[in-house]
Amino acid sequence: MASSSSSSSCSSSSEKKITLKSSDGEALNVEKNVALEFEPAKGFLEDNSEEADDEAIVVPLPNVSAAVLSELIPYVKQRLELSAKPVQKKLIKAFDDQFTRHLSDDKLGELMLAANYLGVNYLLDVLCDVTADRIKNKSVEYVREFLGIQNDFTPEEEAELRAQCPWAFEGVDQD
Amino acid sequence: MMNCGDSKSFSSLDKESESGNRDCERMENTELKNSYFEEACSCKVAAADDNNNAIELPADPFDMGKESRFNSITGCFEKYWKDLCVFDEKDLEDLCFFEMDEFEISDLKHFSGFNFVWNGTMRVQKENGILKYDEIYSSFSQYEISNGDCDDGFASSANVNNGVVGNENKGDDLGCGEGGAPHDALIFALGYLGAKDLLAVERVCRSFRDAVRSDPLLWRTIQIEPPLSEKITDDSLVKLTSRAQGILQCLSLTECSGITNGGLRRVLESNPRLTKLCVPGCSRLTVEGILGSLRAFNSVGFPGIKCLRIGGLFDVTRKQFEELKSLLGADDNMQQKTCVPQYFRWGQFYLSCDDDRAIDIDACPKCQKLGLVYDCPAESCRAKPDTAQLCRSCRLCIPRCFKCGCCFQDCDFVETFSLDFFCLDCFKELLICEEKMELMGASSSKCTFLCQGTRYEICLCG
Repeated sequence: MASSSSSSSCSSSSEKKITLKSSDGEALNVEKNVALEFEPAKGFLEDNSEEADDEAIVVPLPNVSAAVLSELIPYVKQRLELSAKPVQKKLIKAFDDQFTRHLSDDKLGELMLAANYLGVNYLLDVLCDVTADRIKNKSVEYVREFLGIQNDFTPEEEAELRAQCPWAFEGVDQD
Repeated sequence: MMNCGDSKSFSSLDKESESGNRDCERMENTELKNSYFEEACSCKVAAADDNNNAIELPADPFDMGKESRFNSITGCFEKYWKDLCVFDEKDLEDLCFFEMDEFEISDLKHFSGFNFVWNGTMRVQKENGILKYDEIYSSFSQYEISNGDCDDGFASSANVNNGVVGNENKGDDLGCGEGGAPHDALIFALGYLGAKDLLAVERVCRSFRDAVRSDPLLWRTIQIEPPLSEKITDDSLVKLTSRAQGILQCLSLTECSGITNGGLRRVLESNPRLTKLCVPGCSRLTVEGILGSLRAFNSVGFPGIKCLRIGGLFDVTRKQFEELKSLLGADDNMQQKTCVPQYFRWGQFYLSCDDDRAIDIDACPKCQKLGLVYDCPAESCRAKPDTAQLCRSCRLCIPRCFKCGCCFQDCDFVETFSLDFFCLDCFKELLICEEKMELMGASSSKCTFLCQGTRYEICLCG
């Protein structure tokens, strides 16, 4: 993946680098301002602020894989650059759209969990919105198939659920 | 005696207007209403003929037969009642008798439909001139389904905190798991779904069901919009709102014709923390009923309803308006200053509940009648503050473009066959859209038909 290229390209805005250690043991160098966007990393850095040399700090992120991190880091970086400028919300929205448009459903889920763990709320918002859009106004069967979820209800439970709000299930998209 | 034919035609109508993509539907509605208008007119003539023998016309000039005529009438009444506003009261009376004499009616909905038509007619009859058509037709836009976005977008992240990310759970990924459990991350997305989708998701699997049921936060905002709105009843609404376990904050019911004053009162009683209430187009609610509920609610509820949307359908007297405002805690100056301008738009007949104004209706600066008052989006009108105020009015006082809502002070406009006004810019867009549709081929024949009709029947003014 683009892990090494993204983290090694040093931007002028931040000179200091932090090393993040992913769940699969890979070390990724990121700018300090990017690392500070991640809540666990921020906390870790604050706890270890007496360390003179930031370069020496390795922040463990045991819940995020390197593959996911390497997707997240460029996004956070560009998003930071965008929001530093007085740009319109439209531009940010367009950027978010571009980022999410090509995400597969698996990736979407992984990123969502990572964004939650890392406390990147603006990304979590965007991802949830996209996911919700993908299952909006769909039939139960469609959602199940789309998400690859097994129906684990007993027939009785299903009948009970169906009887609950019969008015809500007419005229939904079948595809 | 026929009483099944009509309901059949109605349901097919419904289906037609519910299916298809939105744009097409918009066109379709407009087209449908044209044909209803014609049919309704011919019915009017025929009814007058039956009763007065004043006009010498063949009994069935278009060979429609009683059955098809009645079908079209019921269709009009049920779904597009506003078409009938072109009738005068006498005609409507005739029509009502005509129906009761000749048909056995088992379905109560017809009757409620009649009542509603009746009220609407009384109201609109007070106005004069061509503009009333404009109002009548543009109110069609309300049948469009507005996007059911859940505006709050609160993620109930409290529920899922310990999801493990990355390689460790490759097995049950969002989409690829072979009939597995849902990805934990999906629970986050629930907060972004509206009531209707939550009900669907609830039926997908156990973990979703538990998540949806155990989290009242998901139900903090409940919006019911067409096509669901005609199916919901008092009881089902009470049940639905009880999912919020008392923390319901925003309740929006658009055109819920099954909701009564009593039902609304029950909902309010069990949700003391409600602050926003939108009931535009709910035909069985009355101003008095809403006032009564509000009085009772705001005396016990905390902080009480601060934001009310009733749409333009009610006949609100000035006294009621003042009482509503005082109940909502709105004072005149605040109302004027804080609100964002409201534009008349195709497809956005009702004002949204997103802005801060306490109540959506206001006195029209021109005619002083209470109703929805629109601002003008035209640059030339907005530039100067004094003209911006001049351009503020209800739909009857100043004609506005059906699409963008601008007035026609500084631009030319076009009147279509269906008596909608378009400014030239929007009309050009329409024509371009038509050409695109033509390129797309047969699937869009209906839209093309409409636009062609529009093109042939226009008269240029100004």
